[in-house]
Amino acid sequence: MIISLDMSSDTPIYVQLRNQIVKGIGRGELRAGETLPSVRQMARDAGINTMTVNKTYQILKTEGFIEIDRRKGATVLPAGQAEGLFREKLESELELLSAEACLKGMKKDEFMRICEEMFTSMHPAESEG
Amino acid sequence: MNIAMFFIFLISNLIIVPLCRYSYGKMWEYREGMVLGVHIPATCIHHPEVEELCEKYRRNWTLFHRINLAVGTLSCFLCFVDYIVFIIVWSLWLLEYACGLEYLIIVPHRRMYRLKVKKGWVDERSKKIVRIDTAVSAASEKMALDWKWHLPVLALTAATVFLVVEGERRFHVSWAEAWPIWLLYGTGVGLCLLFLGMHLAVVRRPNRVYSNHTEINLVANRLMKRSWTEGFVYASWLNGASWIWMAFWYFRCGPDLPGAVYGIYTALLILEAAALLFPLARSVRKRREVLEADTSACYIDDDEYWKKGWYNNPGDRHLLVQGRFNSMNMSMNYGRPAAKVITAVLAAVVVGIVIWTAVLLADFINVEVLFTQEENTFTFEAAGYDCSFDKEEIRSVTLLEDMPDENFTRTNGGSTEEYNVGHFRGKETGKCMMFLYRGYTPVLEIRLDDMTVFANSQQEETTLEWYEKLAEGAAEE
Repeated sequence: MIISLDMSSDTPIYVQLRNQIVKGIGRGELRAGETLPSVRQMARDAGINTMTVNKTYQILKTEGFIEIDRRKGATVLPAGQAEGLFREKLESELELLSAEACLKGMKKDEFMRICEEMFTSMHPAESEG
Repeated sequence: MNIAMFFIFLISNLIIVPLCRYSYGKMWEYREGMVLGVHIPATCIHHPEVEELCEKYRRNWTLFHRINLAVGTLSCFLCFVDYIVFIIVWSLWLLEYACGLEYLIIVPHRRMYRLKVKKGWVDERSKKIVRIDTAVSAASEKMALDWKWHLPVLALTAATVFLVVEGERRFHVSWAEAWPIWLLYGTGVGLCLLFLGMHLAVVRRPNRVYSNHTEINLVANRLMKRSWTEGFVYASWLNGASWIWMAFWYFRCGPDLPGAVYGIYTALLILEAAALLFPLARSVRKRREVLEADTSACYIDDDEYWKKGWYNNPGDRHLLVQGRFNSMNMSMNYGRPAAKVITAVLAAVVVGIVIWTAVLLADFINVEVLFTQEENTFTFEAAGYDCSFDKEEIRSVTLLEDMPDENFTRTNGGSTEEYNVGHFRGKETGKCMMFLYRGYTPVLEIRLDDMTVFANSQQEETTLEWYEKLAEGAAEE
């Protein structure tokens, strides 16, 4: 997948990187078992600090999207069951988004349609092996 | 001698000018989203001002190279008139060519950039975007040739120090005779180290995203990394082979090396340059074919950092980036202080070498053989070379009607149709120094403990005067 980082954005680089990798896994652009670039190579290609990439990988690992092996490096994990912690986070973020949409005058049907479109565009891919 | 110099410089010129002309490619054509090194939308390439700039650039570029090829070629004929004048004229021509080349690239680029800004063709957002292809980055380590291929040849080249030291011991070579071979040794090892350093720099160079298709990005990045590193490894091995060849013969024959040794050494050096450039040229052509066939190319408008004609981006951590005007080149990021320091050091080294060479050559403009006597010490001097010896060192002094009938090899000095000055070796005479005007007789032959000195003056009576002084000194002993 191709990751685009906006260096002029207010969103921290490690958050942008994390979000793009998660979206990539969700859309099936990164398959389960696929190897991610090494921390050093990713930092080199992006022209950013290795600590930034390392922080992203640690977050992705904690969230259960990737696993980090000393020999193989970072690899994408297969889609799993939603954990309780994730559900809480999702509900919290959806609550905020719902409040913002409601305050901006968006109708429920439209909000639900956008949610459905987004969700159906996700096709996590299993490992080819 | 003159014919050899003529052909060496002529062939060099015939390689340098077309190589520069074609390696920069056709910058007036729209490639990789750029024209004259500036990103502009594809819809703007037929704008009258853009077409006018490109046409003017194309005309000047062609004319400049045609004129310089002619001037460079004609300057070589000065070899037959005066060697020193030729070197000065040729160096000035080369300086003019290098400066002209930079001028012709940078000035149209700046004009194009100003036009782009004036017309508002700037994609402000894209210059802040960094793109990474995860598949390319993950495969990056396997794209380049392993840098360890440099180690055996580096070790072998460095180990020839034993051949040189042993050669010097066997043939009683003095430092004055030996420093050119040490200079060649340093160059041999230094080039191997340079190729290794450049190899590592290429391996660490960031991968570029050319397209939205990963396959295209993989092919383009692999082509560049593979060809650069292959070129460095081939060049390093050929460089090592050329020097080891020279060191082996130095060990066998000492400083009196046969001409064929230099011939093969030069041939290997030419092969080295070809081995470095050929994979690069091939990969540039293939990469262009791949990118031109791509339908979903994506470009980052980073022209702001190139607006002066060189790369200056303090926000980019990379010190070396791919050249904007020639993809076979690498350019330094002058937004980083290290680039300025490195450039200053390199410039100082180049200026130092030029001054040193000029001083060496200046000594040969008007060669005058000087003979002096201070109490018991005699000294011959000419063109920066000198030889001092005491009375007790003189074994014999002879006045020859002609030079001994044997071949002398110059080991460190100058030799033209007018004079022979410096260190030489003869098959029978062995180690000797010459302070000779060619075609003038008689010639003084002074045999010393460890070598022989040949000297003369353009005036016969002066040579006879020197002979009397030396013979008198030798007789006193």
